[in-house]
Amino acid sequence: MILILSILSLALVFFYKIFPFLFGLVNLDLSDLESVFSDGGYRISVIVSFVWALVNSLVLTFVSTLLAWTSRRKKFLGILLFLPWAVPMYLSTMAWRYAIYGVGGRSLISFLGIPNDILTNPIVAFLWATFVNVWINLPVVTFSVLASLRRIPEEIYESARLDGASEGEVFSQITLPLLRSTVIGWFLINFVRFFHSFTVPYLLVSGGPLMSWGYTRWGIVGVTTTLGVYNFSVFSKSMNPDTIIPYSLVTFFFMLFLVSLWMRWNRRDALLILALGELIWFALGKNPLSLIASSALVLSYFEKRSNVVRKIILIASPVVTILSGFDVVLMTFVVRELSIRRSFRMRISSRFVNFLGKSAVFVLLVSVVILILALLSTLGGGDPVPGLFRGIDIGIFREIFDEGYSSYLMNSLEISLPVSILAPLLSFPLAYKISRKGWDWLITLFAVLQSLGGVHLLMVIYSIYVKLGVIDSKMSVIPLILSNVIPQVLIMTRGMIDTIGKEYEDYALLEGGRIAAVRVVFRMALPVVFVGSLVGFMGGWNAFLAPLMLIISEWKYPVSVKLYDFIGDPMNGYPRWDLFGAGTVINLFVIGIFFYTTRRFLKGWES
Amino acid sequence: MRKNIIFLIVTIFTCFVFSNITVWFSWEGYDVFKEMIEDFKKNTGVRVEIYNVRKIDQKLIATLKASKKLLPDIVLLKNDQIAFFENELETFNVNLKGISEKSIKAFTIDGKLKAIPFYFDIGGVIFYNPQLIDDPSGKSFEELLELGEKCGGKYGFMIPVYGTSFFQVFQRTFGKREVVGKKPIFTDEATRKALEFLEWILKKTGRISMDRYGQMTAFREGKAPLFMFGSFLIPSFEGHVEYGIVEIPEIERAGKKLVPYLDYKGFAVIKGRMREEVRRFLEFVISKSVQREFCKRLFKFPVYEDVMRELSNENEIFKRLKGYVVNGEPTPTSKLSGIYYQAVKGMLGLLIRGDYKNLDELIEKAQNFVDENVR
Repeated sequence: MILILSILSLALVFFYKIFPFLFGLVNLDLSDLESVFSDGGYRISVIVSFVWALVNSLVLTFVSTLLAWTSRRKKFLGILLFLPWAVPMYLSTMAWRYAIYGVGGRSLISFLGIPNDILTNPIVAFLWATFVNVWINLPVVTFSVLASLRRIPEEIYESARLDGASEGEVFSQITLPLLRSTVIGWFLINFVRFFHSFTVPYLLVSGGPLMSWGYTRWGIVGVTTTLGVYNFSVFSKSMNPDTIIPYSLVTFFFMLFLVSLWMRWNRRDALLILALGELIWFALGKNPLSLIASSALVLSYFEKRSNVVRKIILIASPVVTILSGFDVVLMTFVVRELSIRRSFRMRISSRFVNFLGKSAVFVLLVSVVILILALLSTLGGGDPVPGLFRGIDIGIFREIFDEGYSSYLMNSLEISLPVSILAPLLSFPLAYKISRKGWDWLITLFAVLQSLGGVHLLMVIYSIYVKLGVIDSKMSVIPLILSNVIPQVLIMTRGMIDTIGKEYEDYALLEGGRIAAVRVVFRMALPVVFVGSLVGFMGGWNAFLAPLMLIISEWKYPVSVKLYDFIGDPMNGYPRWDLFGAGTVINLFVIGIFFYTTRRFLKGWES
Repeated sequence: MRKNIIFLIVTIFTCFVFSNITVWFSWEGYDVFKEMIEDFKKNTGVRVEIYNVRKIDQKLIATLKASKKLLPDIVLLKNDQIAFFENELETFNVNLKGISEKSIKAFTIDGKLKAIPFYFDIGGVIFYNPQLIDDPSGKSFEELLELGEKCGGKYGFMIPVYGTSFFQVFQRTFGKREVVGKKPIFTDEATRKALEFLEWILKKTGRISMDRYGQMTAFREGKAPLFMFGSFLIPSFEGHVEYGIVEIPEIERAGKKLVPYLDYKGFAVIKGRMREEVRRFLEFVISKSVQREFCKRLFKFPVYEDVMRELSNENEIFKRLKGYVVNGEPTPTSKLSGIYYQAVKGMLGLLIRGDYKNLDELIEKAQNFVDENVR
């Protein structure tokens, strides 16, 4: 039974993470690939993705480190980060759109005198999109950095202070070098994730605004049109498997290049991966300079000690980038070279660090208040007045249910309940196997597969579903969401099983055989099984992209897609912010109940 | 006895399987339409399922690619969407006596009628707020702009410069005959003049164009004296703000009255779904009485000329809008209209931002985009 369930969960993850690309390769007409390689819009969107990923991952890593350092001995951070952590990404992004732009540009942000023209000003749009993206992703990275920070022995700091080091020197000379691996690790993970960002750039600014260089003969690319947004526009315009599969595959190869690079970042063979990446870039740009750069990277790999070629490439990269428009791979090479330099040291004064840290805490606090006020101002009924709380109009709650909101809640329930039951059921046996057999490589593999996904993966899954005739079905979304949730639940469950002493199992084995032994482990791991079930529920309830792309009929939408449907894209449609506000309150109420239940259960378990 | 049971089962089965029509409805008026269909249901016993589908063209593309089983029998489409689905729709061979020629032409492709016209909206209507200004009818477009600047404070005369559909209004007013035709052309004189005019408006008002929801809300809140938009907004003004309609003005620079666009909506039938019930349903919905009721309640424009006359005689708003109807032209019925709108979107996006060296650059970019995509 354990083996069957383990195989089933493995099969599920592989079916949704690897099979789509095999399917894509089998169904690929090579001449279709040319359409992607000759699509200048796609090439520009790769450049936009690079800049977006680099800026966002740098800012996120920097702010997280600052926040963790400033609040390392205080407890308020958890409260401040609760909102960005608890509210699903699609919901926060839409709420931020209202808080920033409001109605025709009249918003809380404009009231504070901060530029908010996200629909026409590219710089303002890019900065706000970065802010929202960083805000949403802050909690996980900050808590991870904080955990690493707390692992640094206090004695090291004390002896430095005894030697006369200032706070700034302690931070720059001790803390930062010791945090180096965590910080660079998060920078790389986020760089890969943000490269194909979709939710924030799409829901906040629809990939816009357009810049002169983005209006090409092939397509229109805005300042936030990342690969995820570009692929989604190709998908929604055509919905034809023959058109979307080539885009999906090229993006997959690009992601494979980035993930391989991430895994071999500090190794010499990263140079070979970069050389391969340069070949993909050559296919997209047909620029002979890319071929030269690729050859030079191969050459640098075989260099013994001098590193002359590497140094030449490093110096020549900005020149080549200017000459060739922009060379994403060479710029990635530059980022790598800078990040692996060991001699890099910063000198920062303690006052400056404290000032920056306190500013970050202040901005976070203000942003939380702004978001809550913005959301509350939508509940007054009629045309909302941004930032002004005019009480709560019960009429909009009545209207939202007249619009059939209860059926959308039911749809969400129909998706999330099976996921909540199946997620722990399928994860536990595999977690048990991994724990007892030491198959740690499976966890790494799942993490890698998770990073390869995105809009491009869903495009192929859409094509498979069309072929199987199961598109537009709530049931068909369930296994897909399960394949996303299983790796998360697996890691949690495996961690729990690791802590269960082998002696209990051995004793049960002697008493009642293999089944009894597993039963003992299962009983002891029950709390984590329950939490796994809640994680599954939340995964199903908050799923946004999969139903958005795979469910066509409006009456089958889950709450997440319906909330988006109330307001639509920026510059397009007539947003019903009042209904969005009412729907969000109901949605957060449901999410709140589950958080509360989890907390109660975990408290009971701890005691 | 057994024969009777079999007959009963067959009858029930037939009723359930064949007397069932699925309709996809979109845009304004879903509740009113649903209410009106009740009569048809009662009289015929045919079950009609009506779904309010937003972004109906995208849903139709998705469903056509996904599974034809999920398609409805009848779908309400705009005339500029119809060409895209031409091969998936039934051709009508019916007598449409009394229906205006413009509306029949709007749904005809290569001599084949692909949808039954139902109503139309007008794009380019100019509203004014009588609490802020007196009826400015008779003034030219340029004078209206001046007037807006004088008494509009922050808002002035709000013109949807960003609106891709509204660009054709200016193109046509400056002399463009076919907006899309065999291939959209942007390098002509009329397009250039239209762009110059919009550039002049932006420079004169010195205002970054607000998005349509912002403009709509500002007018509804009584902050703006003049607002150019679509007639479909009228029901949303009712009960919120006092409003009037300015008689169709002339653009002095063009030496011509504004040429609004007429946005037709019609019922199309998916290929293979033309059954008796579907025919009866279509007969019902395009009857004069249904048209009259639907259009009167929602300020839509009936495709029957005599119904239009009746409404104009009894209602001041319809009377004012008659000039817009007479001067208006249908939106292009072409497979290329999507490419045209995309090209315009890019051009206007850069125009609004001021991110261009000269207008030639914008025109060249739009034309290159069209040339690359129309092959």
